[in-house]
Amino acid sequence: MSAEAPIDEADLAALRAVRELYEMTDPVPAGLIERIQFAVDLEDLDAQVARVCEESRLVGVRSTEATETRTITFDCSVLTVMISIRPITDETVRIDGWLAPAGEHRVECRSPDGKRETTADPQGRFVVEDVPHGLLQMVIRLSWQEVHGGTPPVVVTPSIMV
Amino acid sequence: MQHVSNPVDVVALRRAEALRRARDGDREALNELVVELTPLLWNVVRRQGVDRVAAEDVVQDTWLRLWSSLHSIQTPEALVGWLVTVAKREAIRLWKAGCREEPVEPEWDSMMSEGPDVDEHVTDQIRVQGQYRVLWGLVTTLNDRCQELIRIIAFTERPNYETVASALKIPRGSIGPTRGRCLAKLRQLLRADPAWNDRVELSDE
Repeated sequence: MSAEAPIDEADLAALRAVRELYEMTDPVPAGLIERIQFAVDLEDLDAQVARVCEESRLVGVRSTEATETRTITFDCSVLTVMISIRPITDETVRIDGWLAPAGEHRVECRSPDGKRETTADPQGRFVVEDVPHGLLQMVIRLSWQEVHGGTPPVVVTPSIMV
Repeated sequence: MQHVSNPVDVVALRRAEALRRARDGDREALNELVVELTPLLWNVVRRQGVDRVAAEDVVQDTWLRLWSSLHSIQTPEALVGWLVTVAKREAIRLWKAGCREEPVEPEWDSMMSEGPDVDEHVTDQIRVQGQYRVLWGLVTTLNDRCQELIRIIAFTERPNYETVASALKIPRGSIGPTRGRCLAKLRQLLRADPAWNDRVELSDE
C-alpha cells in the first residue's frame, strides 16, 4: 500500500468509484456534447471565438419552450455581437442583431438544417427571420480585411439553443 | 495481486493521433474526443465554482478554442493538459473579467459540508448510496491538490503521468510520488472504512 507501488486493481476500483460519484452527483447536462459537436463542425479554422458575455435569465432560457424574448451578448477582441431572439411561430424565431464596431459584415446563422445569411447595415444592424428552434451558431465575416494587423476576419459564437 | 500494466503512453498516443486526424479534417475524430473528454472538462470547470449554466458555456468555449487552434498545435500529446488549462483559465476569467456579473453559487462548498445531493431513487436502485456517501466523505478529507489529482486521473480513465503533470503544473519528475501518495492515502482511508470494504475487497500489497 505504499506510494511507490504501481497502480493496481484496487486503485482502479477506487478511481472508477470517484468518477461514478461525480457523474452521479453532477452529471454533464443532456445535450451539451451535441451542442459542442455542432459548434466545432465548421470550416473556418483560425476564426476568433466569441464568449457569451451577458444573457437575459428568463425562465426556460435553455429550453425550446421559451416564449419570451431573450438577449445575448457575445464578445471577443475584435467584435461584440448582441442578439435578441423572439419566438414567432412554434417552429421559428426571429433574430434581431447588432454588431460593434458597426460595418456591413456578413452574418451567417447556422442551424442543423442549414444556414441563413444576411449582411448587416452600415450601423451594424441585421435581422434574420425564420430561424428554426434548436441549435444556433453565428459566424460573422468582418467587412474589413486588412485592419487589426493579423487578426482573422471571421468570428464564431458558441452554439446556443433557441 | 496482478499489477495493471503501466498504461502511460497508450491512451495519450491514441488521443494525439485522433487530434492529428481532426486537424486534417476528420470530423469524427474530433467528435470522439469531445465525447471522451467533455466529462473531465465539466468536472474541472464545476470544481472552479462555476454554476451549471455558465459551465456549459465554459466547456463549449474550451472546445471552440481547441478547434480554432487546430492548425497551430505543436504537441498533440499534450491535449488533455491543454484543455484543462484553457478550461480553468476561462472559468477563472468569469470571476475576474466580470463578464457575468451574477454571483456564482457556492454549491460545491455546501456539498462538502452536507454531502452530495445524490439522486436517492437512482442510487437506491443500484444499492450503492451508502458507499458513495462514504467515498465522498473520504475524498474530501484529502488536500485540494490530491483531490484534483485523483479526479483528473479518474476522468482520464487511465493514468498518464505526463498528461497529469502538465494539467496540474506539477514537475514531471514529482508526479509519480505525488500520484502514489494521493492514491495510497485514498486507499488507506477506504481500507479503514468498513462501509467501503463491504463493497470492494481491497488487497494488501
